Amino acid sequence: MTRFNHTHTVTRAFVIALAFSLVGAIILARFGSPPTQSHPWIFWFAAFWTLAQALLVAIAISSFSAALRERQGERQLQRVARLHQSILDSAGPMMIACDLSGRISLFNPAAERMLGYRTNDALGKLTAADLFPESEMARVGEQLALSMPPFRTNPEVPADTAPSLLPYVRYVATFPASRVRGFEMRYRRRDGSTFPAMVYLSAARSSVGTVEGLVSIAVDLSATRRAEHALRESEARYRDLFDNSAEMIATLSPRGRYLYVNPSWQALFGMDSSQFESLIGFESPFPPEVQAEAAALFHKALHGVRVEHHPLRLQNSAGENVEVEASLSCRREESGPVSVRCIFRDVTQQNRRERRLRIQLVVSQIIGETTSMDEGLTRVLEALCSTFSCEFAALWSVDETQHYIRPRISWCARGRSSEDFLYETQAMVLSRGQGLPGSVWSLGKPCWIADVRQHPAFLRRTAARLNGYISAWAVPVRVGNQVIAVVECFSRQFMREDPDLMATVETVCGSVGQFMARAGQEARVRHLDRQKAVILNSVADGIIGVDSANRIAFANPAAARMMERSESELIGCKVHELLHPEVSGCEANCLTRRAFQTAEGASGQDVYFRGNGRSFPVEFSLMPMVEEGEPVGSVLSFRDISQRYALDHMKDEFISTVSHELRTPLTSIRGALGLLSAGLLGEVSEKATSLLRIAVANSDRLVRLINDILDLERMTSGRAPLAFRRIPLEELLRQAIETMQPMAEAENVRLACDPTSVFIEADSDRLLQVMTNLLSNAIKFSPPRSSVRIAVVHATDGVTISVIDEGRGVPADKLESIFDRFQQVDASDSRQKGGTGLGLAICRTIVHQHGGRIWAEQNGSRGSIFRFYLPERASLSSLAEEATQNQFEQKLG
Amino acid sequence: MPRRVLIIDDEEDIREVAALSLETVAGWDVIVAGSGAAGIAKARENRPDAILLDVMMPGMDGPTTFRELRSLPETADIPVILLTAKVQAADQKRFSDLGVVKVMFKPFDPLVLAQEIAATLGWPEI
Repeated sequence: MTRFNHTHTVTRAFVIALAFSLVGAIILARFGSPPTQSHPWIFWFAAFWTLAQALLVAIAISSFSAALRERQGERQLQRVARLHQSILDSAGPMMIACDLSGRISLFNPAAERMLGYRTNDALGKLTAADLFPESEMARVGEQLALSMPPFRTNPEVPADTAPSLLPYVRYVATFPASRVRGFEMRYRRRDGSTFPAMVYLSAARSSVGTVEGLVSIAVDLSATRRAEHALRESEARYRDLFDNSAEMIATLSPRGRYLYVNPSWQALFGMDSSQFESLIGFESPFPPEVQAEAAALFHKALHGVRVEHHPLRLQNSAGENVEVEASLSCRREESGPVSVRCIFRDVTQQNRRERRLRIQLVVSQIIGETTSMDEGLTRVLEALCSTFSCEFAALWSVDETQHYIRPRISWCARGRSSEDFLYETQAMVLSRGQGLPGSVWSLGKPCWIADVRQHPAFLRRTAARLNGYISAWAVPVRVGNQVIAVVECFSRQFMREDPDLMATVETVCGSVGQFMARAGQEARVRHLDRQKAVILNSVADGIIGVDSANRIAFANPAAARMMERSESELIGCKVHELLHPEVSGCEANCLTRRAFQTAEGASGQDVYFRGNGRSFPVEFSLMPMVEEGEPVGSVLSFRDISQRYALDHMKDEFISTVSHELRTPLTSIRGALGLLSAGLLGEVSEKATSLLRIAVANSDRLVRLINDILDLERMTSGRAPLAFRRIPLEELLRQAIETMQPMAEAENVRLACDPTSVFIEADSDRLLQVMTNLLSNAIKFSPPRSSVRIAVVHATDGVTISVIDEGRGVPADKLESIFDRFQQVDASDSRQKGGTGLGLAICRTIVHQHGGRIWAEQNGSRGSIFRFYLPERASLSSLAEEATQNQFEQKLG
Repeated sequence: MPRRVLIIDDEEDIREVAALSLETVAGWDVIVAGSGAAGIAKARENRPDAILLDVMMPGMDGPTTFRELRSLPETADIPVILLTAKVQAADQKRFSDLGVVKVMFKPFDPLVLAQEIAATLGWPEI
């Protein structure tokens, strides 16, 4: 308008200037010619006119260019106006402007469409309040007022503002256009119906910046609301079902905002529904390590891929590991995705059960199949790794001395190298409490390290970093209460401590412990078997194993050789029928048969028969095998003593002959001397008598010496077996005293015996020999008028018989040696006392044969005590020996 | 009438000492023989009251001689005492199983030999 007025003024000035120019030109023409007749002022007038003409031209040029510029600006303005108009016309949202009194000054076609008014009906005729239901403006105005920051509650507002617009004007006046937010209002159509719309409000300002009006842009929310309503309707229908579902259910908007979460979902994350509404995305409540995976699932579902039973591991609000199967799907309408449904099923328990069962099954299969311990353990480690997402595992075994623990077996997954970690592990030897395996060994319980790279006590940190290991756990392998090994596993993923995993692995390790113990035992058994085989094959003795039915279960080569049968022929034979076939004519009291029948240990000599029916003498030993109190068989070992027997026989013959040949001349000597010394053959001088007595005594001594040597030889060679009988001890002592009484009387020594009612099991002749020997010694070394006493002490396990004298006693240093052959207290004793020096050696041999012992003590300051102890019961072998000897001799003729 | 005792022994010295002992101590009538066969012949001929029989003799040994004596009707009832230098238990058992009255061992005491024989056979004490 200003520009227009300016152009008008210029044009008017130009017309006036042009008029003055015409007037000037007329005056010049009238008064300027001819120049000589002109008036002198004409020059000045002409000059002034020329100047005026020049000015007029300048004005004309200026005016023309101004008019040109003005026309260009106007054209531009028209273009902008057309653009604005087309924006207004084509915009989807309603655009409505009003002045401060509320009068509508702008009303675009979208507003026409939505509200049902024509622009001409609206402009200048309607006010803002006409477009809203009653009190809607007040309601929203109050909310806007509340949203204002307190220090900006009173911005300057033009005085002519309508009261209903005040909060709105204040709102737009307070915030710059960029900060103004949208809010929801209900509009009223011309027909009175209403609809929700999102309103974005801004101020129309004057050139000086004061608010002159309000401009609103509004988007119809009816469709969105309808969709949400429909969703809520359908949700309400199923909410009860969902609320009571054990499965975790959530519905999310396509943007990832939580629309609904059921109580199970809330419980899983430990948040209430309002907290979920504030979250910006589906993955927000998940633990950081699974957020990416969760977000990926959501996007997959959003793009139409149905996610079914995808496994996810997370932690619940209590920090426990929860395994879920996630199923996600998207509900779509024509307009696009409406919502994403998520259903999580808690499969923790089920997975645990399955995993436990699976790993236990796998491990028991491995243990059942494998014979090599190392191979079995490697496969167990592999199974553990694949079940529990680990890439490296090692089994450390505690050494037998319990001093250190070292890796025995290790396993690593294919793919990324574990070389550094493997080498470092294999080179380690740890003491109790050292490193991860050492601590588990020492504590006897599992250990979990969530991040080995940061753990100060973890020794292989550097190698773990190099090979990318993060989490580790180790579990002890026990047999009974003893930790024999430790299993450790390493993962390249971060794994939170999982007590259930460790419990499962502990169970598995129980089986592993049993496997290792069993494999160790088997190895030992194999070693023993090899040893046994070597021994059995190399010994010269025949060894036969017999089962509980007395059938031969095994026989060594020597047994087969002696029996002149093959080993396989022997297996399964009835043992007694083999050793004593019918031709043997063995009787019911056959020692071998009895020993097998009674399943008692026995030893002795017998005669066995070879395959060809020939007999051979054996020395055998039968050892019963008893398991849990039940006889399960026996082992018979026997030795062919044919050669020894022949030698013994020769020796016997020799001794018998020597004895006979010595006795024969002695008989003549002794008889002749006896007759001579008795004086029966005529008077002999006193000196001659004395010499004859000496000769008689020495020939008697020589006879005794021969007898004793023979006795001792027979006894020590075992060829004079004892004949055990149950006898009253008192009777035996009485006999001994009776035998020695004449000698005692001759020496003027009194013999006494304690009364006793004890019965003993002994060879009475031999025991009598012992008693007479001891009494004889006691009498020999007792002074006249002294006494020799026999004392008997009976205990539960046996009886001790003592011969107590008051003689010269035995020096302390001889108490032992006097029982050796030809050892006497004094070297002259044998000559003076007529002893042979073999009596006590014979006594000791006899007592030993009875299973007892004999010893000498000093009897205080004077005399000596000879004691011998006999056990209550004689052994079967001793008894057996006697029976065998009889049979043996009969069989061999 | 004195008792008549037959001594059968291959050792002449022993025969002599034993005979002397029995004759001088007990005053018995003693007949001697140096072998089993001679002993049997003398026994049949003289019918002694008792026979002292050695065991180890060349040719016919003591047990064989004993069995022979037992088999002959005229000598079957004569009590036989073995007088032997074989003192081993196995031998003793074998001898006593023969059925002899007693087994006596060499060397013997010449002063008590007659007494032992008398006691064994139930003859009056000397």
